[in-house]
Amino acid sequence: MTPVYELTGVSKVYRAGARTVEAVADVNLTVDDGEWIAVRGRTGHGKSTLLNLLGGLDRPSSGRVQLDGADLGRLSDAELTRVRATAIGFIFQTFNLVPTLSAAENVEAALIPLRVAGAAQRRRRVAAALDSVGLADRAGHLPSELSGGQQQRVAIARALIKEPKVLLADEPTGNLDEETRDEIIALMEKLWRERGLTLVLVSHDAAIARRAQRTAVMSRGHLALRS
Amino acid sequence: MFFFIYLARELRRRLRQAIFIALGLAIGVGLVLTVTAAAAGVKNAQADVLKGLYGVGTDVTVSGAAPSAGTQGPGAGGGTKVSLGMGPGGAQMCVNGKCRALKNGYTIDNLGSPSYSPISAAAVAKIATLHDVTAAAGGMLLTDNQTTISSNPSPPTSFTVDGADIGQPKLGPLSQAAVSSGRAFTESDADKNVALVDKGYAASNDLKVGGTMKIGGTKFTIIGLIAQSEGSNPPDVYIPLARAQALAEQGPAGGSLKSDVNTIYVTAASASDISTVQQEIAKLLPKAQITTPSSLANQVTGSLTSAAKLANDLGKWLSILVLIAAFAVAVLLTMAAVARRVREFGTLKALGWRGRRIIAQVMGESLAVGILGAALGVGLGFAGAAVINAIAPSLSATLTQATGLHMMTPNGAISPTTSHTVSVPLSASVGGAALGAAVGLALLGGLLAGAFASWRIGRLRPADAIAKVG
Repeated sequence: MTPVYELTGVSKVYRAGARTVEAVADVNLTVDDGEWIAVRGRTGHGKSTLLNLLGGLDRPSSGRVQLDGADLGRLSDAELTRVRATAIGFIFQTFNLVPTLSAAENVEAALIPLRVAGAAQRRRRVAAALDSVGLADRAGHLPSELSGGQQQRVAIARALIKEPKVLLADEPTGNLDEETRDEIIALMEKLWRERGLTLVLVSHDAAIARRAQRTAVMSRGHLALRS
Repeated sequence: MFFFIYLARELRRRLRQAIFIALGLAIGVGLVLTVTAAAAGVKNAQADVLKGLYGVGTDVTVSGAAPSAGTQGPGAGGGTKVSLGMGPGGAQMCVNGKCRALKNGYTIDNLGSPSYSPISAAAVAKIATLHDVTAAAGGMLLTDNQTTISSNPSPPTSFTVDGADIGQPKLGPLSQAAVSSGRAFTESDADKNVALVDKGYAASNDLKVGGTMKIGGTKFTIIGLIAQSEGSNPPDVYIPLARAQALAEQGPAGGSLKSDVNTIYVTAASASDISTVQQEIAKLLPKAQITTPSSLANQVTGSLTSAAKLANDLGKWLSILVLIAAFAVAVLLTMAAVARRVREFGTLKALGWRGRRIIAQVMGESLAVGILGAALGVGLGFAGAAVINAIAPSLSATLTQATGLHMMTPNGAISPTTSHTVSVPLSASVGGAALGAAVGLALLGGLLAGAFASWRIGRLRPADAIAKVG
């Protein structure tokens, strides 16, 4: 398999006044193309920081984070923005939908940096993305008019509309009830299979982690892989 | 299209805040417009008063230095010197050294130049040839004093007379007068005893076209009545310059003014040349008084002046203060709104939105609020101007001038002055330039708020933005 991510000796250190916190410590990881890896761990042990490094939202203090051979830590801000716009889809625990935009407009927001020409083409892609998550009939609804599960579906559609190579999910079911959680995970698994995505999913939920091909555990910034 | 949808939705979400910011900007802009309109109204009223003094086309006025009672002598300026005393034949009255016995009903009529010293008429031609001067005309501002000897003493009467250069109708106070009946001067009137009389003066003295009046002891035929600006103290009577020069006397010795003028009206090539012209004339006539529109304004007192100071000082600073407050409120509220949207902007950055695209979105929102503020502010400005026009009382402008009389009395010499107070209506109007500036200010307020918010967004790291709230 071709590796999509290659992390070599990655550390992330934060300074809090005189104190330094090593959120990620000397992590080495390879994620293959089309692989689903789950990252587990307790709150505050560096899972989200690792995800931010994978998503180019943050830069490592040391080490290399390579995505398809490109060292994300060495890319310019503009190049990193471009990578986020084209290759990476994000799903957040709190959905992070723009509250003033409808479901369709939230999904369309992901196409803005891609400068997709033609309103008709954009509308078609948005409709298809919402249809793929079962929300074709909720396109005009505001986030406040949708349930938590529906909002997360919109967030998934937003992450996938640009057809990214990688999908990064940070506690995607953390704010959902058990039934909805299962629906969302089932949907993500379906989309992962259909689209051949590389999925890195951070969760403290063991039930979700069990569905992944591989599990890694973050503890005090260190990553331990389990097959 | 997405830009406008997002902008409109966001403004609708924080509609109350947007309206609050817009109202703040509107009050500031409205106040600026109102004060500017009031100041423009006062300025127009001032201009109305001032242009009446020396005419519409006059940029610079040159006059002989005002004589003082103590420096009078033959040929040296000075007005009409009247003294009462005892002569060989009994009681007598002396006017400019010419004494006559006090007989009942006798009228002493003297046309003099009380307020200004003479300037050689040749200076007019010299000034006309100066580089930045397009036209120059001489004039004689005179006062006709008439004292009638009577057993029932009454104060002397006087009226102002202007010797006008008929060949230069666009310069001098006559240039802004309109003939209301009769006719204007023609070239052929240059050496005739003809007069144009102010309509108001004619009415109060029962003078009519075709009638006669005595000026400097000479009978003049009234050929026309003229309407002049009420906002000034215009001459009561106009006569041809040559006749004024022939009849007028200067100083107590009654010196001739045949080769003199006492005022020169000058038009500069452009407004920017006025100070240069002023300096050139000062070199040519070092003792002369040179008056420009700005220095002329200082001659006016009264509530008009107070209103001008109020508009220029208090109004200006109040407007600036309110604008600063409005800008500060706009900036603070926009910054607060951005702070509440940190996660939103972090998410957009995670989606691949460039920083400047997000900044453009926020700037667009701020600009829209600025436009709303400008629209409301313009409305408030027009309303403010309308309120001023509705409730503002008429302003008064007082012009104080020497009568030219220097009376010797047993108690000493007195030189009375006359004060002419006119009522000037204040008409506040919003001009195009003020409108443009006010709209610009509101937009500036919006952009300033957006700029501060953009600075905040520019410093935003997506990981921090998402972590803070998520």
